[in-house]
Parts: sequence; C-alpha cells; structure tokens
Amino acid sequence: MLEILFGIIAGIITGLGMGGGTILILLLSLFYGLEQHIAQATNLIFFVPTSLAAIWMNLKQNNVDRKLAKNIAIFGVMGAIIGSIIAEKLEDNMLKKCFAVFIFIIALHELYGIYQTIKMKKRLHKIQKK
Amino acid sequence: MNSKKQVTKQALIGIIAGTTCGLFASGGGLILVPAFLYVLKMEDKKARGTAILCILPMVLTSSIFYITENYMNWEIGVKCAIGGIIGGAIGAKLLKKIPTIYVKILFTLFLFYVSTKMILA
Repeated sequence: MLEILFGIIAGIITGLGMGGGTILILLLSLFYGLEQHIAQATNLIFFVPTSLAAIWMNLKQNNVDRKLAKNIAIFGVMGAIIGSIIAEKLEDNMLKKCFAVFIFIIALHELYGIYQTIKMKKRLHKIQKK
Repeated sequence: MNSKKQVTKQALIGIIAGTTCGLFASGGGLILVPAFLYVLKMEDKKARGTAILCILPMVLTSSIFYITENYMNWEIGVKCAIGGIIGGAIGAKLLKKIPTIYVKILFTLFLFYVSTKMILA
C-alpha cells in the first residue's frame, strides 16, 4: 500500500511538471529502506507506463521537435550506457552520496527558478499599479 | 558551420542527460528541459514534449543494464507505477487549479533538507 502512495505522490509531482522520479527514489530509499540501486531501478519501471500517455499526447498535439528528439536520443542512449556502467561499478553508499549531491544541485536550480518567478510577479504587479 | 555548432550542442546535451539517466535512473528531464529552454531557446511546451520522448530510449537502455545486474524489484515497481498513473492524472488536474509556485517551494525545501542530510550522513 505504501508503494502505491509513493507512486501517487511522485505522479502528482510529475503531473505538475517537476522531477517526480527523483522524489520516488528519495521516498523509496529514505522511508522504505530500499538500497539506492534498487530504488533507482524502481524509477525505471515507474517511468515507462506513466510517461506513455504524455508522450502520445505530445506527439498528437505536435509538441515534439522530431529531428531534435532523434539527435538527442542517439547521444542520450550512448550516455545512458556510460552512466549505467558507472552506476554498476559504484558501491551502494557511494552512489547514494553522489545522488544526494545531484539532488542538492537540482534544489539550487529550483531555488533560482522560484526567485525568477517571484521577480517577474513583482514586475507585473508594478505595471498593473501604473 | 552554424549547423555543426548546433549538432555539437545537441550531442553534449544528449550525452549529459543520458549519463545522468543511466547513473541515477532519473533527472533526464531536469537536465533536458532547462537545456532546451536556455541553450536551444525552445518554447516551454515543445521543450517538455520533446524531452519526455527523448528520455524513453535512455530509460529503456538503462533498464537493460539494471535488469542484467538484478536491481529490478518488479513487485514494488509495478505498485509504484499504478500509483503513478493515478497521481499523474491528479497532478494534471491540479496544474490548472493551484499556483504551482507553492508546490515548487515545498518541493525545493524538501530536496534541500534530504540532500543535506544524506551528504552529511
């Protein structure tokens, strides 16, 4: 039951356009005690069915740059091979630490995004006052 | 010349996003969407739509490695995915109703808290 709840939380975050996958991995490793490698693998399973509807919708609504997608996918697959091999070689605790650093960087980026949004809202407010 | 530069940019973005996807089994979108927006100057909807399609082959490739290393726990994965489908529908509805900035602030605070805790642990 807890797994379904974690899935719902991650799904909501994904639906809102934020990083649902990272949240799922964090929930599974922190509150469920899964090893980092296993928690990450779970997100791979999670991604496929949850993204298919979005992919289909985007293709139908023409929200995809197909040529760019092809180029990115080719290099992305090469990168995925490199990344997976590194993940295999890393000890579970080490992978967890690296993941934590990655999450910290994402948080910094999100903070910058929030700052930008607030700045824009203030500017809009000023214009409206005038 | 210009198109060569463009392809180099795309190759770099693809390799970085793919490596992250393989290493952390996540974060592909967190890299692709800002890269599409700020480096390739795409519009938001197209950036997101293209990103999620690009991630699928990366996830499938990573999965092959994670399966052969026996990291997959299918029972937990399928349960999470079922929750994910429900949550995704809720999230899409909420997106039209609530200002996402509050969720974003909460999300960011949570990320800061857990990452610091994990780094110091």
